[in-house]
Amino acid sequence: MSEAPTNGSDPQPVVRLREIHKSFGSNHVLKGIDLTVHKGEHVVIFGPSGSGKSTLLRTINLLETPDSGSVWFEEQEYGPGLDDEDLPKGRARLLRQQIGMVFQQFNLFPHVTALDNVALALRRVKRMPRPDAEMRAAAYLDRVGLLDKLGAYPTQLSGGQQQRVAIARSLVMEPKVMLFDEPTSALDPELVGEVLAVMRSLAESGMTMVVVTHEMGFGEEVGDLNIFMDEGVVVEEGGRELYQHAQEPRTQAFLKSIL
Amino acid sequence: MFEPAIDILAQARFRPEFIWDNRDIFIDGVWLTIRIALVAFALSTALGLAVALLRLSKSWIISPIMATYVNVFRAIPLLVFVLFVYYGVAIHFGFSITAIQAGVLALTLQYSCWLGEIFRSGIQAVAHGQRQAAMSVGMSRPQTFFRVVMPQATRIVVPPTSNMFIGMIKDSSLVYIIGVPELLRVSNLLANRTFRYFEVYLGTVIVYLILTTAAYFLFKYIEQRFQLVDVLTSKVRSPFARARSRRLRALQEAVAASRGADPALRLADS
Ligand SMILES: Nc1ncnc2c1ncn2[C@@H]1O[C@H](COP(=O)(O)OP(=O)(O)OP(=O)(O)O)[C@@H](O)[C@H]1O
Ligand SMILES: [Mg+2]
Repeated sequence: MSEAPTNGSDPQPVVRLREIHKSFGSNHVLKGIDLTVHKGEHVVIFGPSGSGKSTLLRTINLLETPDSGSVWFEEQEYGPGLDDEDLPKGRARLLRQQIGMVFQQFNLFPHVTALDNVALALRRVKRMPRPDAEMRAAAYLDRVGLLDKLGAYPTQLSGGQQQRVAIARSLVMEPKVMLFDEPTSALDPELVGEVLAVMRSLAESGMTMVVVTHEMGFGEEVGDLNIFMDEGVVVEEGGRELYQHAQEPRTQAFLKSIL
Repeated sequence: MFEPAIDILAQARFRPEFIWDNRDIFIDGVWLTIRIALVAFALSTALGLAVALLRLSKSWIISPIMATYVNVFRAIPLLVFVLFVYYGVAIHFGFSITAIQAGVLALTLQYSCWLGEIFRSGIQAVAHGQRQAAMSVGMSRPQTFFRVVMPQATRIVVPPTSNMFIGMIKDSSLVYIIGVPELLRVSNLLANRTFRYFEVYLGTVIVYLILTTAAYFLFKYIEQRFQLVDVLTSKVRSPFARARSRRLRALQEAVAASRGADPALRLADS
């Protein structure tokens, strides 16, 4: 089905996507994407609207099942189409428990408090007793500076606060990788800073991250691998210098257009 | 027991005490109306939930079958349907069910369609991102449905469901046609025997008004119970809220006290 993982030198690869293809009907959204994310690495993905960035990100935790290609996490292949293999049926769930995801629209659960948003998966997925789960959840809310808001419901929080709760909700599961899908694009400009600050601290703490963002300053600061995507393919990738010295005309044009 | 109907002038006089004098007969009818409405509504809710879930199933065969079920049963006038279920089916084919059971069945079959459509739209109204967020932290499909989608859908459907409950109280009167001695049937008998039409039907109207108003306030209360307030900042009143607020405060203090000295753990200033 796919080649064996190349056991590279350190740092080890955590996420490996090989030759990913995905179509929605006749819309060919991902056209053979390869992506390797190493432990502790910060990958930044940018590109025009509709180029397939979100679809690619959702493929990493199998919220989207690719039509072909393979998805690896650490030393394990997770899909697609591995139904009769040694892994149990909840394969995608096992994968998702190790990967955190933060959404553009926050997607907090509006019917429960900030505390319960963070504690829910601890209780239901990790089967942690309620007092322990709440203690852990409160500690993570404290990490993102929201200990005083633990009784608040999402609608009672600002966008920036909601996104920080969402980050805590993912982090509390102690993921090995964090995925961010345009985490600041739904925020009022004055609230972008507080969320980027949390993400920057997280990057400094050594978390492996894949971030789709149009905050080029963030990419220049923390992006170890920066990827420009357009129409379902990786057009160009590189280190921090990519933002100033892009080679491809399409990358140059895009960077110019969003500055 | 009833007055003889002779004196036209006496008939024309308004005698409100007449209702009171015949309260026992009324009360039996009211009781039956309440029981029919409650039982039929409970059954419709359960069946309606099943209808909604089956209609949302991805199966190409189940979903159209349920759509047909809904569209057929909804399209029949309820009065006609009550007659059909009891005389047309139950009596004709010799099923041994009582008129009350047949009436409840007819109400349930029809109301499960209306409620099923309400529940389906409620489930669909929950943003897709909610499912994605739940699955992204590793929750299973059932967990996602019961812990994330369903509680939100429930809040969405409370107001339209309350309308349906009020409708059920009113529509339960239609089973009078198959001889079920509920409020309307009892009123008809009493009025026809005594010619006290105004008093009797005024009493009937008032009782229905009381029942539907009570239902309205019951659902209003349910809606209020669903309101989301931060117990730490709101003016705490109920003992439940006070206990919850105390628990959250204790949690905050415990976390603040055990805050590690490791600054790397902190991602933001408080
Ligand atoms: N669930 C879906 N069903 C059908 N089409 C979809 C679905 N999700 C995405 N698409 C389509 O796939 C293409 C890529 O979408 P995607 O969301 O990955 O783009 P994007 O790069 O994240 O864009 P944006 O910057 O606007 O978020 C778009 O044309 C979109 O319409
Ligand atoms: Mg997107």
